Amino acid sequence: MGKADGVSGHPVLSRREAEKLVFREARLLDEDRFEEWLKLFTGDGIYSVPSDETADPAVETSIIHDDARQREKRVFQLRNRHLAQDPLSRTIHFVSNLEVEQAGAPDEVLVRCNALIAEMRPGDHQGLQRGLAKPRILPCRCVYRLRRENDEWRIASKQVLLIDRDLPLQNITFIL
Amino acid sequence: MTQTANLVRETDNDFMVSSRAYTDPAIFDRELQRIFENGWCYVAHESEIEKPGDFRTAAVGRIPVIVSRGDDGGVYVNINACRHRGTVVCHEERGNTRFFVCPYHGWSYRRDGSLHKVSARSNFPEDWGHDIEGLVPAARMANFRGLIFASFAPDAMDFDEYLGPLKRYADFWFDHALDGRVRVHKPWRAVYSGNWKFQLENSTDGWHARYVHVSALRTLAKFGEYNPKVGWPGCTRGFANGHGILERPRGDIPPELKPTFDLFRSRLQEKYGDERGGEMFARRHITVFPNIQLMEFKLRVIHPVEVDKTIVYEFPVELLGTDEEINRVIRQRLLTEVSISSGSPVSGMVNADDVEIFARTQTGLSSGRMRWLRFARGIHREVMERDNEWRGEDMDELPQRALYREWARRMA
Repeated sequence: MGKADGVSGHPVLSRREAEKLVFREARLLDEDRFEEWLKLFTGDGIYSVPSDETADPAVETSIIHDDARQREKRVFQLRNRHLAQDPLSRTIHFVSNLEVEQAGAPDEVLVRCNALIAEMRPGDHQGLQRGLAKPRILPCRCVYRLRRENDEWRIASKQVLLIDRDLPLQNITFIL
Repeated sequence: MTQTANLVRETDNDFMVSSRAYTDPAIFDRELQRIFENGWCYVAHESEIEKPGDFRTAAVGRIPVIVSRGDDGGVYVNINACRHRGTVVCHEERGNTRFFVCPYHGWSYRRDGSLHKVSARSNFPEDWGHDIEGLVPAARMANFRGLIFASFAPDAMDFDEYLGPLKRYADFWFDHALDGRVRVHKPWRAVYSGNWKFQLENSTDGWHARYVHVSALRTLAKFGEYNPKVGWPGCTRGFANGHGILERPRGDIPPELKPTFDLFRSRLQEKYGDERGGEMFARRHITVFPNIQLMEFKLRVIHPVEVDKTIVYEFPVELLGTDEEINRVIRQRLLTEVSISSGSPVSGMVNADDVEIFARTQTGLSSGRMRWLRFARGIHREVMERDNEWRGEDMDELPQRALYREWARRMA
């Protein structure tokens, strides 16, 4: 139960509205609409996939820790023959267990949810090529910090906690 | 009987390696014994076990080991198996402990691996068990500037001799830290679908970047972090015992970071003199055969799992005694930027494309019909720099030839 905004007794963003944003993000990613995905974030937004969520990402390694510039680079590379994404991964994001709570700042909420990301790189009909045509399921917990800017809710941070984040991993060059 | 004759063929103008070297499980088993267990295998960095009782688990080929710091401050490498029935006595990756206690029947070992107690001792004859000294130690151990190597061959070559003239360059790498020491941070961990030697070959391969990394280079150029007009001079070096180097000037520094790197260079020249400081200040990828590579501000450790499955660890390093400003920029480039130096083979801009190529190569070799792979670029222009050291042009396949000359010797 999050802190109340003092009027309705609920966080300033309803669960339904939060879901709308998270589902929209999932759809943009699943439809390879990466440029539109970039616009979901605030200017200072961070997209992170830690291997140890208790560590300082400025000092210890993260699987991904992208500010706006790094996200733009990532998307640019996806569009420019990134070998590990040639062919591009197909993904299907399943989102569940979504909860909204008030964050510290008045115009911010925390959204927690679980996700299953199904991923596969197409392209090999005979099943010979390593890394292709092998559907993978990546279970994770996600924590979003959403912020209202000019009456629009944006992602101030998205943290993806993969279930196997501290183990040796394979290709995560697509966007989780 | 494993057939290892004729896996590497060298003539005056060609150099070939059998494709079986990457696909044959029997050859892989032999590699683990001959090259990893009976050679010098990197196991851990001293900074991972700073205090008495600190430990981390590792592997030498297929031998599970514990690398620990004893009460006497010494470093110990022991087989991670109880003397009683062989159960692993420590299954955590790292930590600190007073004793290693076997979870099966409670036998315990001190921090240095010596036997502390056989549980229920009164149930054994008085004169029994006095030959049990403790966990089985590695036959040999070496500590080169904090890099800990182990060997299970009592007659392994002396480590200084093993390193040979590579030492000069490995020293350069460590001397980037003004205290002469580095501390490693927790690694990136990746697993790829291919033979371990692909990564070993690739880190000193100056030729592949313009193909494999074209998308990364295009991206960096677009964001003003790489200038395609700047050429890539430099050289490759090959050494006796399988070591190798890819060496390039540090030319990929974005303009806003140039002042920091200028400061870095001047610090080295103040400390070591203009000539040595200048020579040190190059970007070098240094392979210490067979499983560790000193990369641009990170250690890369290669762990073979199966003939077609490999784990790679990338440990960022902090340069001790060096200005925080310099360490901060290095960290920024390694950790939070998708840059040439950035580390993760899982999600990084550069290394992820390398491991993709390894998987594609393993696929290509699986036909078993690719009899010979070729490593001949620049074979006609290898120059002997000094005893046991050869130099080639920056894209020559010279470090790979050095690697396979040693590989063939050890596998024979």
